[in-house]
Amino acid sequence: MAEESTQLVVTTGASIWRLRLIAVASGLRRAPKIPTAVLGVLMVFALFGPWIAPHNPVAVDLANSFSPPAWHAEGTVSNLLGTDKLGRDILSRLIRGARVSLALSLAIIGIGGGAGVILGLISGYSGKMVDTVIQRGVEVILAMPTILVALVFVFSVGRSFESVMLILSPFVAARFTRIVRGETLSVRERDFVAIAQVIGTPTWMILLKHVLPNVFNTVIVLATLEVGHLILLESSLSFLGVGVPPPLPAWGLMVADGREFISSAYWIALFPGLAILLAVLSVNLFGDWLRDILDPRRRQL
Amino acid sequence: MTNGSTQQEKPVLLDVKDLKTHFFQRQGVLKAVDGVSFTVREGEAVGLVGESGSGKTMTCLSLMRLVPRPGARIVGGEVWFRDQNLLELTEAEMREYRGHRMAMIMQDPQTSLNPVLTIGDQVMEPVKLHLKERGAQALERVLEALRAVRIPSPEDRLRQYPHQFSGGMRQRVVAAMGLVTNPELLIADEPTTSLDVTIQAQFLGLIRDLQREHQTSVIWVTHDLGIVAQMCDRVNVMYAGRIVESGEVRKIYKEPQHPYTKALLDSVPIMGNPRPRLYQIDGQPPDLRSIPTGCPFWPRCPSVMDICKEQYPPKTPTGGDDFVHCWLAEK
Amino acid sequence: MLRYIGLRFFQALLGLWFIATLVFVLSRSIGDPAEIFTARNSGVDAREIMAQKLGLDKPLYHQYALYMGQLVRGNLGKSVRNGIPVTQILAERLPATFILGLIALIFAVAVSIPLGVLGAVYRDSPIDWIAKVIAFLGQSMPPFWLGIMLIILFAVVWGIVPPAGKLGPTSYILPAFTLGWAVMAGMVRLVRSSMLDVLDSDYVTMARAKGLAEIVVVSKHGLRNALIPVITYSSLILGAFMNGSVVVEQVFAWPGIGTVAVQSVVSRDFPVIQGVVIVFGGFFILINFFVDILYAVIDPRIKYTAQ
Repeated sequence: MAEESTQLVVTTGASIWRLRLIAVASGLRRAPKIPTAVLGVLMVFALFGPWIAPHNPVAVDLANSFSPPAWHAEGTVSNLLGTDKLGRDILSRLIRGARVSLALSLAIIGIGGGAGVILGLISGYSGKMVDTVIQRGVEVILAMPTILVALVFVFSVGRSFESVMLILSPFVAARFTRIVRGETLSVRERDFVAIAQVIGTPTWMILLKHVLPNVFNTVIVLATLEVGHLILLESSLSFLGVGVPPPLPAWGLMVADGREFISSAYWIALFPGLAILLAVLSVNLFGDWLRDILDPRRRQL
Repeated sequence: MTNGSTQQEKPVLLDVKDLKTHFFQRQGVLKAVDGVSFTVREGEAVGLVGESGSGKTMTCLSLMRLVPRPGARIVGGEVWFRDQNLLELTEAEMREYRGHRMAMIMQDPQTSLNPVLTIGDQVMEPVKLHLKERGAQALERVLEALRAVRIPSPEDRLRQYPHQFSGGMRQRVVAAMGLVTNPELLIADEPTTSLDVTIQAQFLGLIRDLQREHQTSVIWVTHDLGIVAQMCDRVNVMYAGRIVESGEVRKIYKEPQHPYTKALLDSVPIMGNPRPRLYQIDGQPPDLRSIPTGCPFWPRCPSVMDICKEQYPPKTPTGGDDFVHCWLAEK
Repeated sequence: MLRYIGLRFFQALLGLWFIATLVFVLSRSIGDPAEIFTARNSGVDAREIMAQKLGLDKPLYHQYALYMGQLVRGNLGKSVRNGIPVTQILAERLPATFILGLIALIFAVAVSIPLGVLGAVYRDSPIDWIAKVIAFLGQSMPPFWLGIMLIILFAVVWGIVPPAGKLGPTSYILPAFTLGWAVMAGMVRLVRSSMLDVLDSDYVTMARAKGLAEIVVVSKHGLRNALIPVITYSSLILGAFMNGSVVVEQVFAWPGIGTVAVQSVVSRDFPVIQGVVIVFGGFFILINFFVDILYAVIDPRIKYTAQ
């Protein structure tokens, strides 16, 4: 039974932000507990990593290399999750790695997402020509195998935090553009937009004050889910050796380091991968819950 | 139009008694159909009228036992098709009735037909399943049905797909699909709402002719009082999941007993009868999750009394099979 | 229909041309072409010969013509690392990747479609729960880590399959599973939601109203419509497979194009990268072309309307 979902009809942008804040704040109490807790922990790691980590993540200590996790006979509590081949503490590197992953993801979402939203608004609102051009571009980008392209790009440009950011942003932007365009197309038909057009509001103001608030919910949900997606992508790139360069402890890189020792020192590869899994899983679960309360299409008013 | 006085002598085909269908949602129970009772006699055309959300479509789906699961369920009442209570049948037994003795046409011909199957295939299905015919015989039956709904050169169109037909023709194919097995009852759920006015007239005429020819009973679900006036012998007015008035079309249109019926009739603008403002019923249809106590119409009723807010009015017969649920009539 | 095929074919050719040109542009913009195309440790003379061959003294469009001429004749140059012709390297490695991808695809489709369909038909049942969990986990798990964990479990601890490399039939199991896993998870979700939409549609209600048995409704009326979005997404699925191959081949030391790609990036072997991009790109376009045809076969609306 198709029911007309009640969309939040916005005529002025001001009050809807407060309404949204209230909705999320009150909803947060009903948020799924474990994913939110994990995300909270990750954010704490990311922000306060250097002060929380028990050891220096990049300090080499060959005498202490290959120390197993604490619950093994030869393990120590000091190195709770063991050490790698250079004697670096796994737990500390995990904590430090959280910052790398989150910082990278947020940066890419900021740039790519921002560009994507703007392009999506323009594409959805403008005439056929502009829309078609942007759409073709988006299709081409979405069709390209990300990792392969990233490989070639890093080959050409060199390996750095910035190059990873640069190459992944277009892919994120393309996804945002497609979704925002879809939403813009339907918002464009609403009466309040027609009214704004008739009274002569400039296009940029219409987009900003009328269209954007109505697509915002979808954008937030998408951004949350993209964080998970990006963490996976970035860790794959690091695993292959084309992610952020050492000595920054990227989780993917840690797994790659541990690959050759899986029969002798399984913990070097196990824990970073587990961290990735937990992080992405939590983000996805949280994003799904967020979609239930924010995305008007699914909301039961 | 069939003669009103002989109607009452025809045997009863469908007897719905106190049908209740509820939706079970997270926020509460939604009483879509809340104690609906009406009858349909052989060869009769009965209208089911009401605003959106009054429960008309749910009633139809309940009659066919096609209520959407999960979430909704028929929770009470009886649906007597001649001498069988449909609600007591097993699913397999019910399937014998569906598409065979009772058929349904839905509102949107765009979505009622499967886009990836030929229309020949789709009209053939009930023939193969219920009439157990095969090969040339079945084919001939399908062609007959398509000719009956006035589709030109049906032989050529058998292998075509729904998107190759216009809206009006699609709806006629749907009608063919429903009538190919010569059912005793046809349920038409707003079949003309998405059609152009001229096409609509053609379609209505077609159904009326077919109905007369085969003596099929029809339940016309609509919000359009004009269609009811043209096509129906009797009409049932629904509000908030209940039937508030039921009776012969001519009688009800001339002397409506229920304030809601009156209001509906008053909202129809009449040519040559100018009024300063279009009449509108105050207020909104109720949220079916929280129907007010007493008569569900009382918040919008111009003649509301105290007792209306407390108790649901009982059934007051108004002659023959007709009745109304209103405290005003009780007096 | 023929017109449709012709149009798609033309578009495919256009796409191939586009990729070839893109690669050419890349080769002329990241540094001295003579250097990146000549073998390591060769002297200045070798580089000058290469410069001659590439026509670096000639105008750009001349170079382009030379390049395209070589390309059409199947000459992709030689690896700068070991002098082996690129086409030979690719030809040796391509089958391994292709077969792995095929097995992974069969696995993904064979599991995801039934699971997604059953999950939708028996909504909120235990099987639906399994479908949802698999979809979620699959999309959250880093594939390279999954591969490593599987190696630890099945090869190291239990020793039933070799830990790496392409050695005999059992060695295909883990890599194919790992490669197919992430794609399968996404497909389960897609199939399930698509099937749910279809089961909600009017034509399915009408099919039931005709008295058809539920199994007929689901298979004849539901399935074909539900699979259309899956085909629409197939190019994305293909992209995911290509991405996945690169990573999975690294994990399992699988001698395919993926490992070649990574090696060549790390060792800055441009001719090989060039070859990989062209092959991957060409392959991608070819598969898309076939998918478009399949799409037209399944959805009559495409066949019979002007495209």
